[in-house]
Amino acid sequence: MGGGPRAGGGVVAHPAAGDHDPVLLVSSVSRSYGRQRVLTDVNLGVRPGELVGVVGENGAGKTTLLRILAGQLRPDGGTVRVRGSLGYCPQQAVVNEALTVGQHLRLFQVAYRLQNDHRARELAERLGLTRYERVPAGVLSGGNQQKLNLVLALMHDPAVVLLDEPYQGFDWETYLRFWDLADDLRARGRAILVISHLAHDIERLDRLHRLRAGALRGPGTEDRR
Amino acid sequence: MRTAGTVAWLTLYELSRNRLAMLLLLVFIPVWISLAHLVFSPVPLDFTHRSTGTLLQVSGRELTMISGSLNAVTLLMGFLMFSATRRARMFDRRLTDAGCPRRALLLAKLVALTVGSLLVAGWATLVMLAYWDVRQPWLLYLALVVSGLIYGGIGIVLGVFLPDDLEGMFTIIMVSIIDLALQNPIANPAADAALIVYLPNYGPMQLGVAAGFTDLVPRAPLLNSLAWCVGCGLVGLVVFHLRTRRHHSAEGPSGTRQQGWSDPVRP
Repeated sequence: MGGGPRAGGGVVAHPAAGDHDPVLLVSSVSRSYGRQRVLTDVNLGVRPGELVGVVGENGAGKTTLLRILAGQLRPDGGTVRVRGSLGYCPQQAVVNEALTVGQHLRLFQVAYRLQNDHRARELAERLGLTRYERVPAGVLSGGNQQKLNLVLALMHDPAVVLLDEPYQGFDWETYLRFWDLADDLRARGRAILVISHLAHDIERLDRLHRLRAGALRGPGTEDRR
Repeated sequence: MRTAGTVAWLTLYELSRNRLAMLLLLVFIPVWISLAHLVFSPVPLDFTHRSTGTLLQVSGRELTMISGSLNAVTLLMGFLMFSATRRARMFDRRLTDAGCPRRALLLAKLVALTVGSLLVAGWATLVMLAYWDVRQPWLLYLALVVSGLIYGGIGIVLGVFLPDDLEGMFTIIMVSIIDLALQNPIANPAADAALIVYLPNYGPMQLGVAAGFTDLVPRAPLLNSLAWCVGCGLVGLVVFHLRTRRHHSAEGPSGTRQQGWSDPVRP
């Protein structure tokens, strides 16, 4: 299976490796849970420097799609290709409650095999997390756990960033700082796919896709630039 | 090596932060062994020591201390490793996605299991020695260490499947009760059925009795315990491998860009 890219749904024509060609290419992806078909035919391409949103009703399959893109779930059909490194920020903060913020950064620095933690420190500083360096993740507020979740996804400066409702629990200031950070990533040529609340974020996206009936389509699939 | 060292150190740190396990270690083990010493009668009992083919006359009190200490060590190590594995399920997945080698995570769990078993068994042995002049203290220590290793391994396997601490604790308690009650002549006067050799604590119980009441070092229970350790290790290895596999690889070493496309993920 897998088929080539098709028209509609924000699809990219071909996977050439130029600067403006997509670094994330999704072709005809489908996925079912038992008899329930969650994704039927998802096609999507995201180029460097693009900030693309996916919206959909509860249970539409947004998180399933993102987990497939992150390589955590195998699709029943179709292909996913990623060019460069990948950063995935899951909806629920995936942290170790016993470890402090500083220990998380050290652990992921060795996991990503980074020479230094400069980028991680910069992100922690921008999101206001530095003061909690010695605090175990288990006693952080939900918002601060989410900040740590985001820092862990971005600290290796990935080429493709997948964000699943990344600002849940953020206060207003942090929410604005998050979008500054997203703009910064976009300016640096990173490709960003974000599952987003339609009400607040639609004007911040380059393109918006609506996940409906298992596919990316509908009037929301317009180019906003 | 640096990755494995950091992961192992932080895994040990995480275990030490489990307050309930630390409370059980400090209170449960001495209380259980002390009560076994104070409450149970020293009336001699027949114990079928299968690994040496002898029928031993042993003190019911001291036999219960062996059984109780094995029970305490198994519960503690089972719970500790279950809890650590269950809580780390998603986190381990995230670490492997980030590029952390799975062998480093497995090694860290092995280090945690071994260090935990050595410490817990050491503490239980010291408490036992306060009440009883054991004939072979090092063999008793070995019995408790392998018991901790086996149940820690079972805890790791259960931690991959069961959703909450309650389910895990309940399962470990039930398995431990069946395991030790069937081997204790107070609960099961025959205690010599052939099926007993397949129980996880058969090896440690045989070693413990040999340590307490003989000058022998039987090999068969050591091999039996080793088989349980290897079996749990293999199941854990396979399950961990399946749970953390990636369906596409976006990069070589994390943080370094790969030229060209990753292999496409396909059904």
